[in-house]
Amino acid sequence: MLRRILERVLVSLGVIFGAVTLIFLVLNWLPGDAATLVAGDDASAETIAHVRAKLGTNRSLGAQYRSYLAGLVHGDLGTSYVTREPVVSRLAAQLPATAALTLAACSVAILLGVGLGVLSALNHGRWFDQVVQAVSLFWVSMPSFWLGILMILIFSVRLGWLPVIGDGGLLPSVLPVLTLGMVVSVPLQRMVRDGMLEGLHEPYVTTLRAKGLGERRIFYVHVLRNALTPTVTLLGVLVGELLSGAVIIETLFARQGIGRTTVEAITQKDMPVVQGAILIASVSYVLVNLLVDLSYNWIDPRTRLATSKGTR
Amino acid sequence: MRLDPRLGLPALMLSLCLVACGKHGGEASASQSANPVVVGKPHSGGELVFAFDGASLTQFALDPHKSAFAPHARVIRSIFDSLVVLLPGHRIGPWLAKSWEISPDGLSYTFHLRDDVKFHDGTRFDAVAVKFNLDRIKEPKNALYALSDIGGYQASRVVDDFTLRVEFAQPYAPFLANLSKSSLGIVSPAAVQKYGDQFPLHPVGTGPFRFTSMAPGTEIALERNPDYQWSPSGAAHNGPAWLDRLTFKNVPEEATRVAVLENGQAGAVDLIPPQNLVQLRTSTKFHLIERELLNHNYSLYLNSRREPWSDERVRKAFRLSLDVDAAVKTIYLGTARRAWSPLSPSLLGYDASLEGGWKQDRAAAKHALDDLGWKPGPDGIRVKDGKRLTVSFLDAQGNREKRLDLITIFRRQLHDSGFDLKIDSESLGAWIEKTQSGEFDLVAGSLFAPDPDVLQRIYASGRPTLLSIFKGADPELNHLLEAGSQALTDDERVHLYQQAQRLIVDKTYSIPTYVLIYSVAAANRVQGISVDAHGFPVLSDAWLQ
Repeated sequence: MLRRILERVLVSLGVIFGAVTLIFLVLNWLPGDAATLVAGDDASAETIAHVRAKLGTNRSLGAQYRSYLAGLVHGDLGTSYVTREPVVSRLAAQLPATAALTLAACSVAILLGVGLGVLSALNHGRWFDQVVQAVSLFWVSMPSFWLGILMILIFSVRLGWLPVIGDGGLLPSVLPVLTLGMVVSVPLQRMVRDGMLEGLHEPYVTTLRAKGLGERRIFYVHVLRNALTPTVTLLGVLVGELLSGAVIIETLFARQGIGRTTVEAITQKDMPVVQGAILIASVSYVLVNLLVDLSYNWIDPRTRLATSKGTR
Repeated sequence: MRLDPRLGLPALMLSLCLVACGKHGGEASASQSANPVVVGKPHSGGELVFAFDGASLTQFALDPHKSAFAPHARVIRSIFDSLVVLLPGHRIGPWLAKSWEISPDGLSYTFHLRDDVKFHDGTRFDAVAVKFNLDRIKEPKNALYALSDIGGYQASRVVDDFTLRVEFAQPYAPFLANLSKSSLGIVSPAAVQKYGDQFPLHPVGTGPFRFTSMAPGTEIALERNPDYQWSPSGAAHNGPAWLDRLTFKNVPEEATRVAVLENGQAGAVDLIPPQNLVQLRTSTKFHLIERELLNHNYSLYLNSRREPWSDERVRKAFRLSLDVDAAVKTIYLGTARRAWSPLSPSLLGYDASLEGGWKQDRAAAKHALDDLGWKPGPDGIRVKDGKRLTVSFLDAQGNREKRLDLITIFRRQLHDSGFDLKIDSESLGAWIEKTQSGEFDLVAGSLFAPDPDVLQRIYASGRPTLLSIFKGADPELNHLLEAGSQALTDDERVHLYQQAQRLIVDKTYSIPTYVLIYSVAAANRVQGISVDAHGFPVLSDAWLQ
């Protein structure tokens, strides 16, 4: 078990290193020069050259990459080209908002996804199932941007129950969290529902029934657990969706966030900020997937067995 | 071209507005809505939340000399004062400078400054401080955007504590108008030295509000400057601002801005989308303040350095295919006027005789293209020597102000004549690189400025900058624009700029589209908001009922 975790951590470090390197190459390959953007409309060639030297973008790619990695090892992510702030403090200012939004939205997605998935499977073919399927089809087909506006119009403007904007605080977060969470919940709900419906026809269910187990126990303990394995895998993939959805939600609800910061930094070719943001995104992606992997051990005893055999 | 997505963008991208006023401009183009507005007596107190369109900004840079981006300039105006103020009718009024003289050769300006002004950090405003500001902008190492606003500035001489002589290498007629821009707002030398690179995050000026805090990307909090006694001429009142606190919230999505106005989270919001403007005009709960933003109108530029656009007849055929009136009406629902000149109507020298100067004529366009050997291909797109009549439109600003919607309508109109317009969306960095190298057929943009000299920034081919998106080279136009920036009287300048405008339109160097109106909508409990002659909001006179 320990060895398996160690292996996963090493692989994860490799993934993060690869992501950082890849984004470094891609950003350098894209057209545009940060120094020209920073220097101003009327900047002379001399001014632009001076700005390049100040930013360090006049050095060779190799030299820039080495100094970036050296900084990274010391926890220094560099300084924003545009605002001359340390990247660490720039991102630290935006991270809590994104973390709160995505974690809360993820919880909503899990509650809704698993809850509705189970209930739909239980009520397979009945009106409840049909309504849930229709609503979720609608929800997942609409752009989240549009759904957000719809939520604002209904709950803020018409009913006046909730504020639209505001950093921090519980109330201003309700609409953005619900919008993002509901969008992400749809694939989970489908996965749980279909997994359970399929599970009910598996031979092991017949065996369990033959052994005299109650339907309730079969359903909630055995079938649900089997349906959860692919659902948890899917959840790992959906982290990407959460992070990209956050960009849209942050803009719509005028919230702080890493998503908006990244998009802005990309258009400005503010490399240190983009790299810092990608680092955070890849670390969280890798972390979640590490947790997903480990959770298999708990959900599915077969993987546990395989692991212990392997370690022996 | 107002690209939104960055902090210190070329002014060109910025867009909106400029200084104002035209012969019939200024007053004529400013309009306060006719909504019933409850009036009363202004009094102190309270907080105004002003939700503005800060685009994708996630960090604010509140250094007037560094931020050419219009959303920043709207906030900066409340924190920083200028030496002079622009008044309707192209007049310049006193502000931090009580009076000034210009030498007969136009090479030197002597400013007599107010002696009772303090920066927010308590330091004294004087001739040394103004000299510091101008020298700071001139220093190339500082790489400040305001450099383009001081022309051939040479040096400043401190005559006494409150008298400053500013010297130029050549006459620079736009200087006073530029001085009224927030980009030449006066910053505290002590604060610049104290904060260095971080000054944009700790802005210190002499304005009616002082900076208290910001939440990066979402909020900028200001409070009243209680010492303020130096309001510009033309202000509704002299003395400290009425509001205790002024909080700017960056709400980039237009539908969200309207929602926070309606649910009361904001007392005022700016840049209202057309459909809501129409609605708000008849509202009894809200009122509108609208004014033309002084600027080089949002215009289309065909790359006249590239085939086939180097041929004036092809450019004309392109223009004849367009129904600009119909497109502007469809997209802006009557809230924006169609533009005929590159200059917005309230700018000095606007040539009203260009209005109605041409109209769509598809038959003529098709005829001209046939004659030039561009024959319709099987799919309707014209072809010559195996090459399709493709127009690659280079864009980096997306649909801000519905500009991409406008282009989409043009695209359909052009298709009828056999042009195939393709939209090439790029990041700002790539956009700049491609406009610099000339890798495009069509670009479009606006540029805010208080003076017709804005034409020189775009069309002069002598010393290209990031703003030179006109790719042709016309010696006559260069001459007119240079003479215009150096002429000593307004009459002479008007004459030169009218010739320049006619030349630009006659040769189809650019195709103006619409006149941008800056709008603020406020709840009726919020009174006294106005928009200055440039088209930027003034909040020092705002008060709450």
